[in-house]
Amino acid sequence: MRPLHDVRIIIAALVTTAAVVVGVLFFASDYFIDFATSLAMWIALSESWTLLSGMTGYVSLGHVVFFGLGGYLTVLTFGMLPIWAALALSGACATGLAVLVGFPCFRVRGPYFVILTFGLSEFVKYIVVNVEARASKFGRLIFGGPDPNEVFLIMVGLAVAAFFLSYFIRRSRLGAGLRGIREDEIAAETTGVPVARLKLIAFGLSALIPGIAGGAFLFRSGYFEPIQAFNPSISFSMITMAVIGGTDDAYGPLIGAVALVTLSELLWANAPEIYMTVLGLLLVVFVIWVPDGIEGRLRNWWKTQRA
Amino acid sequence: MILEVDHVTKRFNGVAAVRGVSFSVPEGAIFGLMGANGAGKTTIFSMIAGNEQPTSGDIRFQGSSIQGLRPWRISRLGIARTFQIVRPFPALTCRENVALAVLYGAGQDSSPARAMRVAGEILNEVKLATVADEEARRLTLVSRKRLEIARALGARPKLLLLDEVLAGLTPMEVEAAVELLRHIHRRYQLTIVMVEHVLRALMRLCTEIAVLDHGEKIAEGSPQAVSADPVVVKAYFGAPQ
Amino acid sequence: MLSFQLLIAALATGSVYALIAVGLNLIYGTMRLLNVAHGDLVMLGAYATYWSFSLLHVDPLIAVPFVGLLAAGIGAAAYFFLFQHFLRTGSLTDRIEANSLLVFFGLSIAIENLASLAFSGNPQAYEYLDRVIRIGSASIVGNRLAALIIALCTCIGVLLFFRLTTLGLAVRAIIQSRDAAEIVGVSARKTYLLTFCIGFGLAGMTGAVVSLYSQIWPFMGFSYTIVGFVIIILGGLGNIVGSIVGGLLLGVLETFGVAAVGANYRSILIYGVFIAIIIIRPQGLFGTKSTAR
Repeated sequence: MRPLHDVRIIIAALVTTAAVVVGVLFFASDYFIDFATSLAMWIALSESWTLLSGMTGYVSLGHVVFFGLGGYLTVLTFGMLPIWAALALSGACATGLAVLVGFPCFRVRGPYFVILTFGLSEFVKYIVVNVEARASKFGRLIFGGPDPNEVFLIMVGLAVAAFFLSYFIRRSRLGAGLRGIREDEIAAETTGVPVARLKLIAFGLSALIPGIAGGAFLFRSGYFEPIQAFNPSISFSMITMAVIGGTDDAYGPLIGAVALVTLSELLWANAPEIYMTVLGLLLVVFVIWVPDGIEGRLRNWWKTQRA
Repeated sequence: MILEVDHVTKRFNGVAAVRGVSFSVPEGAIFGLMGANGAGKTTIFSMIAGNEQPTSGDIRFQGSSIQGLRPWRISRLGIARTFQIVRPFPALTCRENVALAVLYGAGQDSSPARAMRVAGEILNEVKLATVADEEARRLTLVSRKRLEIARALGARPKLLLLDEVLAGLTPMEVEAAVELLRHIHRRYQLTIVMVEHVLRALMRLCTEIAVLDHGEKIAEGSPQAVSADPVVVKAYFGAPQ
Repeated sequence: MLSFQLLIAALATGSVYALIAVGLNLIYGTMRLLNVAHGDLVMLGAYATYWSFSLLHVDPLIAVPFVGLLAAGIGAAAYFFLFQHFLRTGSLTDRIEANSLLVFFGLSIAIENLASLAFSGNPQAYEYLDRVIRIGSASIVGNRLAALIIALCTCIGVLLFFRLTTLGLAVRAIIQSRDAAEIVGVSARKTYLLTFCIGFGLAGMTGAVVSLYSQIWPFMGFSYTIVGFVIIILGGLGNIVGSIVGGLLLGVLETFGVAAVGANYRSILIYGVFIAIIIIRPQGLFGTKSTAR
């Protein structure tokens, strides 16, 4: 359990976010709005990933499946449903999928869950690819969606929601149970933690916001193409951001996302392979030598400063 | 009778670890399960706590069968256990370890803040208050055994299963632990079932003892009766050469 | 006869699949590590063979064992620099699983992208033994036949190694029970190192074999890793014989399935088998409930 929630921090976070949003909307260039949208999206995704994988230690290697599914549902219902309904549907279906596949998998211990997540996103990807090919659609363009400012606001909303979901769960009874699962699943269950149910809840929650974000991302890119929407490197990026920032509290993924989205702005356009290589190596280095991430290091440093 | 173990058998891949064992524990007792290594004591605990399922037989708690229930359900009915090889949550502090049990055990507290307070009180009772905010993995073995008991208490049990909490302690530490067990038995109005092969401690603490040998119960009764039983003496000290 | 032709094709695919799965499962069985980067070693092995053939004119069949040794060296390096650290602290086994998984995942992405930088993202291939050979009523391209024979022989070799040598016995003992094996004097650390070498080496050899008949490109590894995962679940985690049987089985399933529904559905077929098996029978086709723990 983290220390109990601090109202000052909550207010500070909200005020800062509001100030940044107003600043960006009124003063920033189109380029910067695009950057801020991307940053907000990655915060939302990596915070969500930690809800299951950071808290319980059950590593999902295929979280992109929820993101891609959200995008696909939103593009399919575009023009038929209002935007908010399409996004809500995306989130609900992502959660539904997580619960559906998590149910059989969480009953057995061992690496089955990991392998399942690894394969599931590819399975869904190829189904969508084939369905689209049958329908002779090779990428779908979207016209008349929300404008960049509106997409930016949606993404910021998701980032704030994901941050606070992550912040409050870590301070709740649910969060305590999930930590118990991570530390020792058998001891946790013997102490009264309904482990299968809690894992399922955590998996469902961690799929919710990526589903919605996938739908919102559609409006930013303007088109849907399954190979890109389900690209495994999206899963990989959210994992790396979370691990580098630190998965022990909600600040970690936030820090990791800021660091890596900035790095990506510097490297991605010219040298995507170098960016991905750096990400891969960073992940290895942090898992082995800095397992608490930047946030954990900062917290320790802060403690020794005050002591 | 708070706990009834009724003709319970457990086979692992065909080999019987426990064979047709029955015993009943009256409310408020300190009941000892004695036996050499491999006699089936821990297996019986695992079956009571739901970590293992009996191959046949029935286990009743407060009159109703708990057979087939998941461990967390059994915990919520009011049975808590410790593990012979202690397994505290290593990266959590002692306080968090106990608070988790307060939140999820039979007490079902809904507030983390209150659970942390209650956890502090329990750590106080088992004399771990000074290390309450240390991570569990930093503790000594003695302290970890105490933490294991504290966590079990945090679940607010009516029945406490203690698996060799005295093993591996020095005579002085055993002395302190015996005192502690007496104290929590009174303080929390518990029924305790303890598995042990430290004979002397069992004799002092228990009101009744059952003796297991190779998965079967060979004797049951008061400590005096059991220690005088020739079958027990033979099983424990071997036949005269 | 259509079915005999298909059977040969299935055997050609399945034997390579078996080889992938054996290496993967060996590392899982001994150390409970899931090597997500297994397929990327296959890719590296394929490139090594390709370059040695096109630059140095080394016969690929001769290159196979050397590529295997090279990959085994990478395995040893990975063990010493990255994993020894984890495996020494035995108390937090659950955490080791999660952490090592992330390390392998990071390695996988780094290797793929480095390869893409170094070798360019374009697919490469070379021509070798591409005459069609007739076996009774069936026909098979020479390089596929060579791949089949090498893969089968290697699988059999691995099995014999485990049955007949002391080192193999040590690895099997560790798979059965690490604690018990250590009590009777098996050094877990030496066995881990050995397993890393064999597992990575087999992945490299698989790459050399695959390069005989298939296009190679930096991001080819992912699909091989997934195929490996499907098979080790199918044949049972830690079960080496199960992996070989599972690999052949998946080869049959894929070949006959594709013949029935078309090549577009190959991926759906493989991943479908995967999801189905993991949901319906996670302990594998030949496993018992207790191995699922």
